[in-house]
Amino acid sequence: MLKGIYLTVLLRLNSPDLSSANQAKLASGLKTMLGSRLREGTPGAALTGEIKGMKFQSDSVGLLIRLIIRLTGEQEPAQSFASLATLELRSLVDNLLQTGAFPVHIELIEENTNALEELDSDEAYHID
Amino acid sequence: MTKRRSTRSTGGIAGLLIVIVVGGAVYLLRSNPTMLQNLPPELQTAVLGIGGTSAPAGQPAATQAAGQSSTGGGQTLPGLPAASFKQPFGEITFKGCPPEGDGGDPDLNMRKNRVDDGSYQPVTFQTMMSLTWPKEIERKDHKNWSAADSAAIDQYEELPVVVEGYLLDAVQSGEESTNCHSTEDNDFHIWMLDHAGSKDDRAGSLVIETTPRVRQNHPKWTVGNLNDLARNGTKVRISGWTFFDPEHPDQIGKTRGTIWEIHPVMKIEFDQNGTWVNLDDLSN
Repeated sequence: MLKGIYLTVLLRLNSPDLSSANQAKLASGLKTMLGSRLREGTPGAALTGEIKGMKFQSDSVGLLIRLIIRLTGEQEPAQSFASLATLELRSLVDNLLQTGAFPVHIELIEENTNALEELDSDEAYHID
Repeated sequence: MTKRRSTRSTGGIAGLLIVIVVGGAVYLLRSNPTMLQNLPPELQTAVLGIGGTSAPAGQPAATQAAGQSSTGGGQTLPGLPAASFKQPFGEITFKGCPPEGDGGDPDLNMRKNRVDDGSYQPVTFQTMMSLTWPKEIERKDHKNWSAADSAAIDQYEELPVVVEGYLLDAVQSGEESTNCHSTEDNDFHIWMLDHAGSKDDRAGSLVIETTPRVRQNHPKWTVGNLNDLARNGTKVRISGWTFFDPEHPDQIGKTRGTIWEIHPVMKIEFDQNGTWVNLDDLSN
């Protein structure tokens, strides 16, 4: 069965005070490189995907990048696609961050069961 | 004279025997959920409707909400059907996907995936919008709910209702564990209001959902046909099961007015010159 899933990825900026110019540069680079790797497929199960939304958000600790990513791939119906996709995406993002190109680390990756409504109702998400 | 009295007496005894036999059968079925489950839904409803409307054994009885009084006759809350209208879920495996889905909250998925028809009772749109829930269960799987919180939801959930209103918009939902994350077979997410409106009015809406398991028997339930009803401001009558979705509290006031839903939808009718027409009978 061809399956699909929306996942939220929260990336914590290593430096809490990044200028808006550098934020834009970081977002652009991440969009390009992560987008490219998602199109190539995840390392194990070759799930492919794309970035559906990206925005910066802040909390009490600092700055976060919030991404909504959609992955698709083949799996038996009753097997857990959320578990597979979460592991695969973590692996892909880990590999990307190991290049040292982005001053961020993974805070959270989880299924987003509300992604379509979130993307539809929050204008802060933007993908050019 | 003697013979006539004897006939009357025999008739009386026979009537009494019938009452005893039927009453005994009903008592036996209502006190034995397994036997009850083996009956067709219409007979289950009939059995539960005889001699009062208390909850069948094996199902949690509905509790009364604080500050609200029973209207009698087994009515759980003003405006809602009695708990005795609940029935065991009818479930199927659909294209290899079991009723509990492929992960997530299996209890939630079983509720969304039921396919059985019920005895739908009229409920107003406002009653649906006024249903409450304990704040602490938002975004929590059923297995992590306290007994008190489960009881608070159970008093309103899985009741067969029919609600009148207007559709605002309909879209195909994203993939979810309920449908084993299938890219093809997804729920349709539909917004409903008590007056005609548009997508911009979703903040106060009731979400109702059709599922692929039910839709396989209703080819006319397309997004296109539903949106035609919305665009034309046609009044609709929706039958289905009350359902609590703890996953979307952040959308209240944005894309919905409550996280109570009608899910799954089991019957869709629309008003045509004062007559309710089943959407299944829509002419092409």
